[in-house]
Amino acid sequence: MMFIRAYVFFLGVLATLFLGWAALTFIPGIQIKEIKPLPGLKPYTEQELRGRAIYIREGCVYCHSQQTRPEGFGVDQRRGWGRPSVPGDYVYDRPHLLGTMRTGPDLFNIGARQPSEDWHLIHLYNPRATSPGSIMPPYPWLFEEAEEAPEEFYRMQGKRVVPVPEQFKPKGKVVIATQEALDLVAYLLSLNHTYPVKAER
Amino acid sequence: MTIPLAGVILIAVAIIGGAIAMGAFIWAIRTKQFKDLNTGAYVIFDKEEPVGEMTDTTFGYPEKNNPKK
Amino acid sequence: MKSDHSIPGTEEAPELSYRILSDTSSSAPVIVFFTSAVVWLLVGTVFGLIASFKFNFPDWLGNIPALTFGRVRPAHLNSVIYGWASLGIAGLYVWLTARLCQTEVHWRRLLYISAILWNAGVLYGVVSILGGHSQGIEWLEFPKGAQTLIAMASVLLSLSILRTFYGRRVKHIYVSLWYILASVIWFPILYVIANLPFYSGVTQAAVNWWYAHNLLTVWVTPAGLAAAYYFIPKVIGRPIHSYYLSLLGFWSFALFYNWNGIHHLIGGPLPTWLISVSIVASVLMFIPVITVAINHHMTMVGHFGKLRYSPTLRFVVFGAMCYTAVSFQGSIQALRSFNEITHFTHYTVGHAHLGLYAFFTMSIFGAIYYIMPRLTKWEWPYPVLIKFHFWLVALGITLYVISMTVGGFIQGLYMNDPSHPFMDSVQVTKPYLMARSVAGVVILIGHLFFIYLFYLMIKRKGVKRVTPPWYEKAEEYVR
Repeated sequence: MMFIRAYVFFLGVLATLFLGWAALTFIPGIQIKEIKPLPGLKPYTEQELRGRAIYIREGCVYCHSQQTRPEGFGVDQRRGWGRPSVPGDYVYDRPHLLGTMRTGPDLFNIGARQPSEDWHLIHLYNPRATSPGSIMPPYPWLFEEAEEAPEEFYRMQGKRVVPVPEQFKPKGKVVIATQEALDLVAYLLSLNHTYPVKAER
Repeated sequence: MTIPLAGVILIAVAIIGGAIAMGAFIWAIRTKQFKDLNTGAYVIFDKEEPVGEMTDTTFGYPEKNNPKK
Repeated sequence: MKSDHSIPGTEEAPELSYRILSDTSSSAPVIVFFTSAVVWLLVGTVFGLIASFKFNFPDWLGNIPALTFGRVRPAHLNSVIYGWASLGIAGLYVWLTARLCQTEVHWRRLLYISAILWNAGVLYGVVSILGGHSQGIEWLEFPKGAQTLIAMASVLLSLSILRTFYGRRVKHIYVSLWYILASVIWFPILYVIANLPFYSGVTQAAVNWWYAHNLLTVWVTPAGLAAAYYFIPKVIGRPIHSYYLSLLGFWSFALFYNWNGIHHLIGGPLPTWLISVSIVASVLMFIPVITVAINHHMTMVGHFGKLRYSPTLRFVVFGAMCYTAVSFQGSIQALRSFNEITHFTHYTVGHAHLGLYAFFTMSIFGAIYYIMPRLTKWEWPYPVLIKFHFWLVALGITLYVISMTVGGFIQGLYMNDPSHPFMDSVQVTKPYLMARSVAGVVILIGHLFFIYLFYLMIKRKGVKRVTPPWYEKAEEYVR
């Protein structure tokens, strides 16, 4: 008798887990699979994917979201963060980087909102150089230091000098962006979903 | 906006599942599965650690009972 | 009940010999699990403190890539979840299953292998995260190799627990055992499904948060509840108030809690019906939570004075009350109007720590304080240090939760007010983030007392536990 009860118990236990799984992931997955990428959404380039990998490596997702909320729910549109995001915006995202914290602003459309490469490079080198009061970490290892010299000198070598303000850069040196910094910025600039949502269904 | 098919399936599954669970519950009551339920609460006690005695007195023990350990 | 393992001198009380046998047989593996857990507690606490300080002093240690917030924060989360919490749960489950089945632990060797694999997996995973090899998914950052080790370890643990259950000598399956059995079946399945490499886009987000919330459903919460259902009645010497309520509580918990996960994505790019389903399930959680609260409260009523005598009772009752609190809070913050303010803020972090620390971790502390003397047959030296531990962490977590809850709520209000630039929402949280760091220091000090006590217990520096003579013979009877 008790033998039968134990089996019933285990069956019930498995049923509750799989019911939840079916409801929350399996069935929505089928529903979402029908959704095509929006026409304005372009796949990531090689460089942008490298940059995305650095975004993941440095854990940017723990402070920044990449999802804009619906109209009237929060004030994302009134902050100029973009139209509400939809599933078709994320088709090429693997892994997803939707994020659950806004210690820093949402980045879904940061490429549209802040298109300046220099701004991003300075900001990554030390966020407080562009944004006083910011608590974002600095990423100096994405940059190199070199002896002070005219920018021309480095540009002819194919190196990108970052115009970091005087009080934030090491004395007598210039800050040069590494490939990683350029890749990360390329990724950030690709975050531009201002193309319209095509009416579906 | 039309209700998605997925939602209909889920609601149907939930109703059927709930009906099965309800039926199992009523069956269990009728066949007296729950008869010994309240005795189950006592299985954690035994002769040396019976009901009425604290089993953890690391900070000391009340004088009235549990004079051992 | 006929037994081929009763110890001479205990024929009159066979269930007594089973208790000695179960404790003796579980002793070594449980001590291994608990010791590992305690080490990860220290590691995880330090990481958490570093992460918190980084918000107060963003340029501190700013040249060290391994310690940047974006790496230290997931290192903290993964060490405390898969290290401290999981290994503490493993130890609790092994000990409690043997006790409640009134038998020895079966397949003990699997447990030693499990402990090795689990620790190896967590170590590999945490080092990978700090070294920049995270997979980028919250709660699932570990690389595939580490995840495989943990999956294997959890399967071995489950096999031992289920085999022990199969060899049980009891007719009745106590309520804590329902939670344990469900948990050891649910967790490996959940972990494997979540880690399959098939997902991308918003589907992956759904899987991600189905997983992360279900980790609480199938792993963390059952352990805390199993502990509460056992230790509260066991310590005060009084059975659980209502078994019927326990039954209702378990099945409504199993059914509703599994559907909560998408409440982490309210307002996000997912089908509205999916989000609504999770909000409804989150509110329905009131049912199991209230039944548990009533049950535990009615069991304690008239016996609150006993809190003076038992450290286990203090920790577990504190934990159980916080379970009620965090669950009510969770149900409220799943409502759209509330969520609009608190989503994306530190409020969520406060909620997470109310659950994982004030409820779960406090419960495991209580469990360890009860279990270790019975395994080592030694009393805790310097009980006054236990009091220091309790008060420091109780005050610490209270400060933590209040600062993050209030600070997060204010942050949300500023975020939703477009007349304030975004940076204002950051500025306004700074004092609260500082308070959280202070709370973290207090908690760390509390942990140092606990770790010191645990170390002394392992080294048997206290007083030998008074036990009947045939306790010593129990070793011979354990396979």
